[in-house]
Amino acid sequence: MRMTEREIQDMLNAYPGLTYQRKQEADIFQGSIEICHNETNSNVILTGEFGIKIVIDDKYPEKIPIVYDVNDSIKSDYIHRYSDGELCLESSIRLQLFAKKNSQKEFIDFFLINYLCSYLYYDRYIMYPNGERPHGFWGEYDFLFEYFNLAIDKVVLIIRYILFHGIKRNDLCPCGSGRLVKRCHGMKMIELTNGIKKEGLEKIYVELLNYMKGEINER
Amino acid sequence: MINREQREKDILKLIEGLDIPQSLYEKAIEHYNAVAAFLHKHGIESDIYPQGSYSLGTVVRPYKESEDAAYDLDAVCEIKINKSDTTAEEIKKMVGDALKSDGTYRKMLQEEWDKCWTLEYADVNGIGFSVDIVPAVAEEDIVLKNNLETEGVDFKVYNSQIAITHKDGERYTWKTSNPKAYQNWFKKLNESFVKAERQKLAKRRDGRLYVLNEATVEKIPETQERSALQRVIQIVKYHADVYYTKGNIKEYKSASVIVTTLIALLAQEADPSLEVFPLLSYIVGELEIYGENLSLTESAFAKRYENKNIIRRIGGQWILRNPLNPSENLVDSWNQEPRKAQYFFQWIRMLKKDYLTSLDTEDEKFVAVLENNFGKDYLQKSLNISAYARKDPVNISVASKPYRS
Repeated sequence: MRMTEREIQDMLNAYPGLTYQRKQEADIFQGSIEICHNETNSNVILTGEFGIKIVIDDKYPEKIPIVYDVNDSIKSDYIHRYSDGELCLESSIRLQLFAKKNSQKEFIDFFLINYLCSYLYYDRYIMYPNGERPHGFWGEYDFLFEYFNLAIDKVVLIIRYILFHGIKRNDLCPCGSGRLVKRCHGMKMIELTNGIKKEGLEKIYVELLNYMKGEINER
Repeated sequence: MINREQREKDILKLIEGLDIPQSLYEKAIEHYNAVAAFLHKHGIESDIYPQGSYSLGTVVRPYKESEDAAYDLDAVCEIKINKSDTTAEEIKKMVGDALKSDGTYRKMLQEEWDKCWTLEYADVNGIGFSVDIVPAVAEEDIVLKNNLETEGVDFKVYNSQIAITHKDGERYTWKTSNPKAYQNWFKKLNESFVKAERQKLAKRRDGRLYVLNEATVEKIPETQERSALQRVIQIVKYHADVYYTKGNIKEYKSASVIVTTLIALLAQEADPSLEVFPLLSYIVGELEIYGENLSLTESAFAKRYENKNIIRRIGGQWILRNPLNPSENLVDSWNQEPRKAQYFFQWIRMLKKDYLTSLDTEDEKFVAVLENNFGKDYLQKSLNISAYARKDPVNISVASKPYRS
């Protein structure tokens, strides 16, 4: 859904260093973003300035916003920045789930600001204030562990259940807790299937099975 | 925007405020003199004198948020017994037993530490205050002396060598140390900086150049006098304290003797008339160069920086020789734990960012940097903070994790 004029204005008010442009069915915000934040867990105050370009597609939330570092304000060897400047904000499943429930500005407020603070913290302490995701498929998976708060084998069972059985409120929860789906992981499962496409989940399931097969073969 | 000069003044003012008050210094001396008198009453003849930052004039208040923040005065208790007539265990226990025999000291005494007995005194402005009594005797190991001589160390230096005790489990051993020589070495090195400071002070007083006369400089107790070198050491030490505490990485913090020795060695090459910030900038610049040892091979480093051999890397090992005891490698801990070296140079980068680069950023960011290093309350109490354009940092608890597909 396209941003309204009001929303665009809110964005510019929140980030006065940005300017707005309309291009190829997308809202583009470009300019500088200032960080002057206190990371409350560590009480470390982080300051910095970044040259940023935000591309928000009209098909939000199906298409998630893409953010670029435009003037190398993030070190080129920083691992969570692609060579074209695109920032790897979070696991794509998490981004999609968040986008479903929140506005474009809320998306930027949360993921971009968290990302930049995380970067500044890393630049200071060579570690992340809240950890980082593993690369590739494992990063997505890592998010799912957190999301369901379950170990790997249980997450496999949950995905298999979603894909091949379908979520039914009064089933026993596939996590093995002995509770009904509706009182256990039901809400989380529903939220996940509403948030991401079925193919995405299938892909994860296949990669996971392949991985587990490999594990067995190695043994 | 507040200019650079004012910002430097403000940082200095903050650091000066963290200096140990003269009254506390005097109290500390009183405390360890009392211990000496007490031991004397118990028939133990000793000479008690401070070592470490108290003896160098580089004490700085510990970072308050640190849970173990305390003024720790380190005092050597050199007992007048021949080393060959006693053992490390006997010396250590002699002092401990005497202290335990007294009702007051017994209550103040902590469990036995590896090198010292620690007496805890009443807190000072909410910060703990303790005196570490390090039992020792004069060193008389002639072999060791000869060894040092062959390493080219002046006789006068090892004349003041002592043997301190070291308890490892149930075993007590001797360890050689030379705090007096270290103090003298530092004092001598600092002399030209002290002199320059007095001249600067005289100039500032009169606002004009005139024939400098040291007598016109109001007598500041020597213990409160701080040269640019001493100020730089204080700034750097305090920054390290905050940096490692907030990052929750204290296990990777390098001992302050490493920091102090390095800065002093580097400062030898600097112009003693430099003001605090130019001197800091010089020191940080040098340390940054040494930091290239992390990424360059040893030969590439040697080729690029022929004369940079205060810190050396040989066969992958970091080496910083104790100037008073060349057989001692002060950064041996870096070889045991390479992250200590990595964090040392990382911290230097942040020191530069906080106290040198930030001098040229916007007011808001500069104030945020100060707040990060000194705390909001102390900042508001010490500076006219309203002169700066302000914006409070936004609170955030980072709740996302960067990713890469």
